[in-house]
Amino acid sequence: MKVKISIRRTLLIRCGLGVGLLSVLLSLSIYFVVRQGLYEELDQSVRETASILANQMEYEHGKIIFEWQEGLGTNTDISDQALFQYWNEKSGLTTRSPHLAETDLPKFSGPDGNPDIETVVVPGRFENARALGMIIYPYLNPAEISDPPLPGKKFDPKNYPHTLVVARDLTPILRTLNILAATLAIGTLLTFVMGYIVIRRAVDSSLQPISKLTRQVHARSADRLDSAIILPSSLPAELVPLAESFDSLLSRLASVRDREKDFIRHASHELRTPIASLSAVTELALSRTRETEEYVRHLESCAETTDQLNKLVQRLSALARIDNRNTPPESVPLPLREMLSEALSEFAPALETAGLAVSITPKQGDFTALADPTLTRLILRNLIDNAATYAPLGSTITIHLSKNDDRISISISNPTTDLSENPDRLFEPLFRRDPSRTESTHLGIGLTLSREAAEAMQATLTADLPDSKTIRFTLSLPGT
Amino acid sequence: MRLLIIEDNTSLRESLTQFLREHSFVVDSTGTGDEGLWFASEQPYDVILLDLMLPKIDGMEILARLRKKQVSVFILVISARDGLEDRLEALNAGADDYLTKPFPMVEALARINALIRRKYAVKDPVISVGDLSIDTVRRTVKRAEHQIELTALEYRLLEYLTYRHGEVVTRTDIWEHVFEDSTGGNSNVADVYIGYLRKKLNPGDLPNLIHTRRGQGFVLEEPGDQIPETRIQEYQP
Repeated sequence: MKVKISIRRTLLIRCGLGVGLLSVLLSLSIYFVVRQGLYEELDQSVRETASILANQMEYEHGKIIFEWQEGLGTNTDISDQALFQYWNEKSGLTTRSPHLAETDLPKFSGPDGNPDIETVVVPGRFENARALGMIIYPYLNPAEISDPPLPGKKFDPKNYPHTLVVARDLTPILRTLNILAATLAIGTLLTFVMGYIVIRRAVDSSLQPISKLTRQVHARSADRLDSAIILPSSLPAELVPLAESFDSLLSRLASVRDREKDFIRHASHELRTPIASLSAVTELALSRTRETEEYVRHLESCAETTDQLNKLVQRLSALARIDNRNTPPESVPLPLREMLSEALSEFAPALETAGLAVSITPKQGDFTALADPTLTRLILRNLIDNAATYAPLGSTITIHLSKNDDRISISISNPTTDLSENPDRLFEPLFRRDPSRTESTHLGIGLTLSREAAEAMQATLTADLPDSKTIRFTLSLPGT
Repeated sequence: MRLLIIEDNTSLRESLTQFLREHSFVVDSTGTGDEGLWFASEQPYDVILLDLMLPKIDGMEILARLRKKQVSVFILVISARDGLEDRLEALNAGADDYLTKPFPMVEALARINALIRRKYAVKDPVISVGDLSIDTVRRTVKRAEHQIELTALEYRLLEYLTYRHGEVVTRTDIWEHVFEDSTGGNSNVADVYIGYLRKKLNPGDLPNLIHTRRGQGFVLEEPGDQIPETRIQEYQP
């Protein structure tokens, strides 16, 4: 099973690793800085000792002497803490510091005799030592230059190169460094543990609003989908847009559900009357023994009602398809004049049968609206169907297109004898007018759904009575 | 008993009309609200079956207007609207009962009978006057031990007199509640049918139950309960 990504775990792992890495890096830097410092300090003292010892090799009275040997007592510091050895490169003789006894230091020097510092091993003395090796030349007393001890024989220190190696013990430093390393390792571990605890608490308290929000969402029962989530005041700013989007998603869902409920309610209302009629006719027919002609009459009535039911179901399912579209309404430029002609041509036979004339004004002009083609077509078709059904025989249906304030309006008027006191009631589901001539196949659902379709695409559909004998429906759409 | 059906669905209206006529009711029917309102205002109906969704004037409007005019007719609403709010709205506007479509016609019949019993303050569907008993549900009539066979019109007349037993029923009342075509007409027809009823209700030597009040009408009552004719005349204005 795929493990779900958890913000908490991710944060814990990442922050934990971050803190761990940071403290390891910090410890390492501390260790190396201290190590560097201690080494430099030791190297410095080795350098200083070497420089003192280099200066203490003198050419005096025709021979090379080591001053430290003379004042060995005052130079105890040097001879106690450092080991050193001179090699006379000319004679091959070597001079060791007293503590060296017979042991030799490793002999080395830098290129061209320059000082070079290395870590060395002094067998029997220092397991680890820092040693400086260089070539030195005896110091010539100025008096000796003006008054040479061996007349005629000028002394040139360059002819008496010596290699000097000075070593100091590194062990105490290494011990200190070991203690430091152990301390830092424990420190790092403690930092890691403490860091983990602190991070966990911080993550938990930061994620608490999410849990709160989740509980709130859980608490919303399915039948209260449209009630808004009460945003906790402590809700972090990052979560507010999420909660708000969720809220708006839920209210959209609720409105879809309401529409579905409405649709089912309308449909069941619509179906009730024909079913009541079918049940009444059959109950009547069966309530006693009747003549054959009477049965035929009742069966004919049943057939007629079944036909009505069939038409109603077809209409309902067509509307359901429009009502439950998964895609939101489109907003594309629609040439209304062309769409109108298309819808009118569909009703041409019905209009002709009823002797109805259609007048469209103005004759010219472009009326392009921004709307959904399917929904607009549905509305136009319903309005024309409506006008064709209710206009008296031989009358004229007037269609007027207009443009104002970024809106395109199309109004369809027809004379009628059945004027409702409140034309807005025509949009109520089931509201049925008295058709002037057709049998009652008009089921009072077309206008309701036309208005719903209009509202779905930010359009309006209204009805009014411009005079006492005319009904007018106006569809107003956003213009381009 | 005279009923009015206001329902715009033709086949439902016609079926209901025929069914109720076959159950001994006098039924008027119409498919539009305005005509329905006119009928209801002009005729004294026992019960009106009223649909709510109607052309021209809707059922709720008819209810409101009738109640405003103090028309005390019993109204049974028959509607496709099945919501609680719809039922409450209609009942609170003055409807006496509410039936949701589709409904079995026998239920409509039972509810109409119940409303009629309420109207005439009768509880038992079997009404007895002395040794005469009328089962208003089965539409059977018994006098003492004799089962009486009546025609639809005779039954209707007897049922009407029985619901109003003990009080004087005018010929106009009979005309309006019992006869199919209540307009104009000849009041002698009522006397003729009363005559038929008397003959059928008095098998053997059983005493007469339907008495004529001269100049007023008829009264159905037990022989011992008779109100002296002169006393009634005294109360005449």
